[in-house]
Amino acid sequence: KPNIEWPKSHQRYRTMMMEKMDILNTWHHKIPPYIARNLSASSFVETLISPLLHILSPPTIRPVAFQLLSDKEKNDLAQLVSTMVSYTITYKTVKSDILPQTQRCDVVDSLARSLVPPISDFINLKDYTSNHYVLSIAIKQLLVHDVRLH
Amino acid sequence: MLWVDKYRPKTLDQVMVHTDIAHNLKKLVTEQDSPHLLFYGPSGSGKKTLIMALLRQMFGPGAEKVKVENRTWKIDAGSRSLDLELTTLSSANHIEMSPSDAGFQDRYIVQEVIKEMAKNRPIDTKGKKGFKVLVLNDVDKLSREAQHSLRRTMEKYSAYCRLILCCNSSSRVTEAIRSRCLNVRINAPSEEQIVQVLEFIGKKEGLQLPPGFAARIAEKSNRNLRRAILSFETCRVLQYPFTNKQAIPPMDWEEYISEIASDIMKEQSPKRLFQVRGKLYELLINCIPPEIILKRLLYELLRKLDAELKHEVCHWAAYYEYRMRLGQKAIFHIEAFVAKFMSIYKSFLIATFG
Repeated sequence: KPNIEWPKSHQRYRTMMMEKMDILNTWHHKIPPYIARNLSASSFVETLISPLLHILSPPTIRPVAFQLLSDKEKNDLAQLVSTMVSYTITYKTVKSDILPQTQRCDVVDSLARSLVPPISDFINLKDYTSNHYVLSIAIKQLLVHDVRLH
Repeated sequence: MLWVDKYRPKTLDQVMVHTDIAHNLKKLVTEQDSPHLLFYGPSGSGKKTLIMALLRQMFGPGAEKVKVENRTWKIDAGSRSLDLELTTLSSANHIEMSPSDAGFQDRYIVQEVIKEMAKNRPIDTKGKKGFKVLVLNDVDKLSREAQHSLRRTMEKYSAYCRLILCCNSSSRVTEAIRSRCLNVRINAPSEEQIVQVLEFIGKKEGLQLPPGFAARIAEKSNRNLRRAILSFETCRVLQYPFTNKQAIPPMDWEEYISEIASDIMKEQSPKRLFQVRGKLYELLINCIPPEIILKRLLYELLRKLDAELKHEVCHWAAYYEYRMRLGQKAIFHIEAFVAKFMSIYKSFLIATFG
């Protein structure tokens, strides 16, 4: 006997699609107008998000003190922070003392990976693995700090 | 700041692609009375850049000083009262908005904004311009009712308010509107033009490009300049100095569709069709437009097909895309295309190999 699934799966799809579109529209409105006016939210996934996620996760950044970086590395870091600021992007931070001791490491590790807004969700497709480099937590914390300074 | 924003031309004189159009637009606004304009062309071709440069030509650098406003209009629509909310960008001389964001209430937005601009028109006729400009984005996404309303309103207030309309596809803008605008077609840039832009950016950033590197990026960009520049910056971030054979990272959703095409080619069964449907839903959920899914899926399937079947498969893709535009639920039509493809392909395999 065939398993008719239309109503349930389609309703779920509609709900999730509207949630995702809401994320894009909210983000679009937060981006400064001199950038946002050149984009429509519908072109974000089509053109922007995949390359932007690569640009936000360079494999070359070293988690060392600023004065130990070469001039090129300092320039690259400044460029990355500038991009995050101009697109209103940062990483979610978690106060680790809130969590019980046993959960602290795993949960902090997991949450610390999250971008705000959660644009990497748009490439988390079922049965698909993207090859974006993942920054270490130390680097993410450094970036959060620098973005906040702006 | 991303290169795609950093190196965007600000004035008509700085425009690198579409220099002839920029030149004509400059002449157009120099002679006092400019008509309504309709800019159309594919995504990433430079429509918005030209529009912004045009506004600057008309109103000076003040056109760049825009503020974001979340506005609410109270509409008396006969038997009921509506509150419409929309985000607009405005300077002293112009407003930018995407009225299709209002959904099925888009017709009211169109009327009210233009009326309001007409009321607030500058009294000083000795000033630089005697009218305000309204930039409407995604006009091809407006409902029929909204386009009819727009046509009436733009006629009624044309002395005080000039429209600049922007869309991807002019065929989905009604003839009545198109005939009242100067139509400005913005072609996708050629690969040669994209290479020129990439080399310009490379020089500004002090980069050495291996021979043919920019051409490879341009080739993979689908003639989308935004995409090409983003790919270029991605390559720079992933690996510099560039190498001759350096990989150009693909769009994730395109990779996903390529995998879907492989799934379809490997097995043609109800079970496989069910799996494919799940993946199609994934793409739709993540805001990839359905017509783009179908187009890309066709492209990937054609790459794997014998020449014998290509024509028939193209026919069915066009058939289901047409029906998709008439309907409300894109998944029905995309899945129908996949099912039809499986049927055709399986028959072909049986006929060929027994």
